[in-house]
Amino acid sequence: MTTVYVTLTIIGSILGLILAPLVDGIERKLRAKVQNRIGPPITQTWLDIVKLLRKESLIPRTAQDLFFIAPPLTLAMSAATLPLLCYGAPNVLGFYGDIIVILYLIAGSSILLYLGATASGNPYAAIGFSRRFSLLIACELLIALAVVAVALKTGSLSLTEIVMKSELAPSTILAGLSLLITSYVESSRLPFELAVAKPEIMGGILIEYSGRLLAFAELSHLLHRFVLVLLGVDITLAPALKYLIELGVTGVIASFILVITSTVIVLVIFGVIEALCGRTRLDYALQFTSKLIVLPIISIVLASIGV
Amino acid sequence: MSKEELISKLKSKFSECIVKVDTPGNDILVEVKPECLVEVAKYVFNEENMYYATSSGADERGLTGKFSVYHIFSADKRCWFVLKTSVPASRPKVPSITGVVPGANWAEREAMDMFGIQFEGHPEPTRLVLPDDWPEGLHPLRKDFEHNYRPPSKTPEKEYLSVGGVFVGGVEYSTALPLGPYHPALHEPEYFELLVKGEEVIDVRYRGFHVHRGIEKIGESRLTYNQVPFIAERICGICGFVHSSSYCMAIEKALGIDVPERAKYIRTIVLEIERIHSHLLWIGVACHLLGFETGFMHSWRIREHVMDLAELLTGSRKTYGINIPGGVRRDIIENQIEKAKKVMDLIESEFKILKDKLLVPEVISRLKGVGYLPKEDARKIAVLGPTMRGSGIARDVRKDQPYFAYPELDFEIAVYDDGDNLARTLVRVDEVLESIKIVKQALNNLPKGPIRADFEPKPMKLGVGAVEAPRGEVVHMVITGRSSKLFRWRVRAPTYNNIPALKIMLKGVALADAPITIASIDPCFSCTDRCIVLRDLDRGTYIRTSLIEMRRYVVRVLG
Repeated sequence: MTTVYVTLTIIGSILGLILAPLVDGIERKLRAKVQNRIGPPITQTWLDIVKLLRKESLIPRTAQDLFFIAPPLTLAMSAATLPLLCYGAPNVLGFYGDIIVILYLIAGSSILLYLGATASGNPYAAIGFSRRFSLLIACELLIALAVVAVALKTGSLSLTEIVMKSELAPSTILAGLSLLITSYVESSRLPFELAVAKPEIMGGILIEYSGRLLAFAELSHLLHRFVLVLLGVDITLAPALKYLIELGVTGVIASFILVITSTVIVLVIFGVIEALCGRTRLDYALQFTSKLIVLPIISIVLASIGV
Repeated sequence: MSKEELISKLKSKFSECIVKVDTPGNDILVEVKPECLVEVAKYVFNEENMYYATSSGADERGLTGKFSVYHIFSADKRCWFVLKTSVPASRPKVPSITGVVPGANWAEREAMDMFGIQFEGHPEPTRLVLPDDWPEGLHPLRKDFEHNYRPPSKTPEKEYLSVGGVFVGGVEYSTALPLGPYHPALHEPEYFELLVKGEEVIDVRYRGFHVHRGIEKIGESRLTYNQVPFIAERICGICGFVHSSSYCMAIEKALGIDVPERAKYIRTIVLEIERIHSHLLWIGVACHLLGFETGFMHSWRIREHVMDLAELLTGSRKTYGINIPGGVRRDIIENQIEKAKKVMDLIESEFKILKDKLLVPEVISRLKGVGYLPKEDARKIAVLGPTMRGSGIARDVRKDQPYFAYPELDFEIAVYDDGDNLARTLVRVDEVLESIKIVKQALNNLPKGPIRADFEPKPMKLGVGAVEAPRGEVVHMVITGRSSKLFRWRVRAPTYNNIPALKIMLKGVALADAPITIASIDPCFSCTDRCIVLRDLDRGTYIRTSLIEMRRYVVRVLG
């Protein structure tokens, strides 16, 4: 059984790396359909990344060292979360508190990238940073609260254990959903795409990045989106996954497929929602997140009374 | 009050100031002594409530030994009012009317650059049009300046960017953020420097005219009456037809040409088609700036039908080239009318759907209350078009100075009082529907007859032509010269009057709203600059050039 678990986790990690840009390609294709365009092939995001990897990175004169250290480190941190996730099969790498490590790596990787961007010395990057940081703090709070609710209910801080100990409870589902909604805001999708905002601040945090460095930043951003959604899917579907895992090998494989397809579907739905939105302003975005905080708090209350 | 009453009132009130009164092409031309200029300008602007249009210099040394300045006002519902003053070439100093009519600021500075006329009492007598490295004392529109002369250029030693500090007037700011000359929100080169504190815009500096083409000079030196409409149409790639129409109208008024009814209707139809396409383009761009790409794509999808219609009626999707003094060059035939009506119905139904999808609470919340321009400031700066009508001023040249077929057609002008980005957006949305109505009416009532009238050239006649462009009124002033050439041709595009209002509109807005606020005047920089930039592929450098040089270049490259 352990071999199956290990294999599925390895396959899941690799699949995650491949799927993240591919799902972006599907989103782009669907967005094009909504917008009455033909759109690029679904491999376009990968082609873009591969092309960027072959290109030279321009480093502005005003940049400090952090500017070119940040993107590879960010990518490494995002990629490091992949083997820690639960792809439907219990993760043998899992340890007590791994969910905190995952959250640290996710938040840390984005913060590092923003710091690297500000190290470019470009005022647009500075504005992108300040916008993104305000939103990030609000989102991290929401994510942390959702995790607290789940931990309260299941009594564990390990992702695998959370899945294995979960039962069909309103508090867990609510926490999972609030995690999914927060991941939409967190992964800077329209209308919350404030840090890049091309017509306003010309790409903001990404303005000075080019070539390889841009490829690293893009890939890590896509992984970031994927990981957050997968985490939300894990927690929302935890009772179903638990049921399937207990059925044996076929059940585990089914639960693996369930997790991956649900993640892809959620990402694609997010992509279509994005096509129907315009960009909001930072003050409206923060108002929205402050309203959103009700969800995880209700979830915590429910969890503490054992529902 | 009629035109004659106005003239007699002015004559009695300023009997000692007035040198000459004339009525060229049904407009009023009053020449006053320089010392009375401000007083008369103040009277017509404040008491007679005339709307300021533009000013122009003229080098009349070859005729009278003087430089002249023409200030053009619109005496709404009556005629155009041209205030002229002349000063001797030895001492070209004219009192500035900017203190009384703030909107004259730019036009006076342009006359200063182009003719070397000094304006006494001007609040900021700095360069507007000429680049910083242009030599002192060279004035391109003077008659002794050869149209193909290029002064040597050098890189100006001017620092624009600074982080933190105190701006002129004691305004403290934290970052000076460059918006342009190349910026995704501006589709043409123009430079705004936003002084921001956090996310709030404190003040804005502007430098434009990076790519001046010198079209007026070409029109005055190289071309004849009949050639100018084609270069006039190339002033702008979006609203070119308004320029050629407005030029033709000025020539027709100056020479007293009676344009056939059918030509008037054809011009009206094409003008309104141009307005529909331009507004749809703007709505798309506004959606893009708000990050709403789907709205952008669909707005431009509808616009595509309009472009096809333009191609059907004129032969070109853009830059129609059918205007000529005295009429048009291309007729509309019967089966085209049927097709055009069908397209109009299609556009109308699709645009109504788009309108409902666009004006949703999320979009409205981004536009409402942002970029406020009060009515009083709007009049002082003399802003035009949807920018003016969004601030509650119910003016429209189509109604106030009726031309072509507009007096016979039934349409409304859209006015909103709020003065914010939303008001300006709603004006444009309403105007699209009104334009569809106008095109349908004009197609139904298209009179039969010739499409062009012949005429004889006459020298030294003044004419003012104005057409309501999608962005506001375009004013062309023409003084005819000898041998079918122009003595003076002044082009004033609406964006020229609208940009100064941005200083008021941008103050205090969030940085996120700055691009949409700039776009809310629908800036058309090529109209304002009347310019072009060419990329030299061999050397990889950008060069500034005139259209004639460009043509030579194309001939050289293409053999």
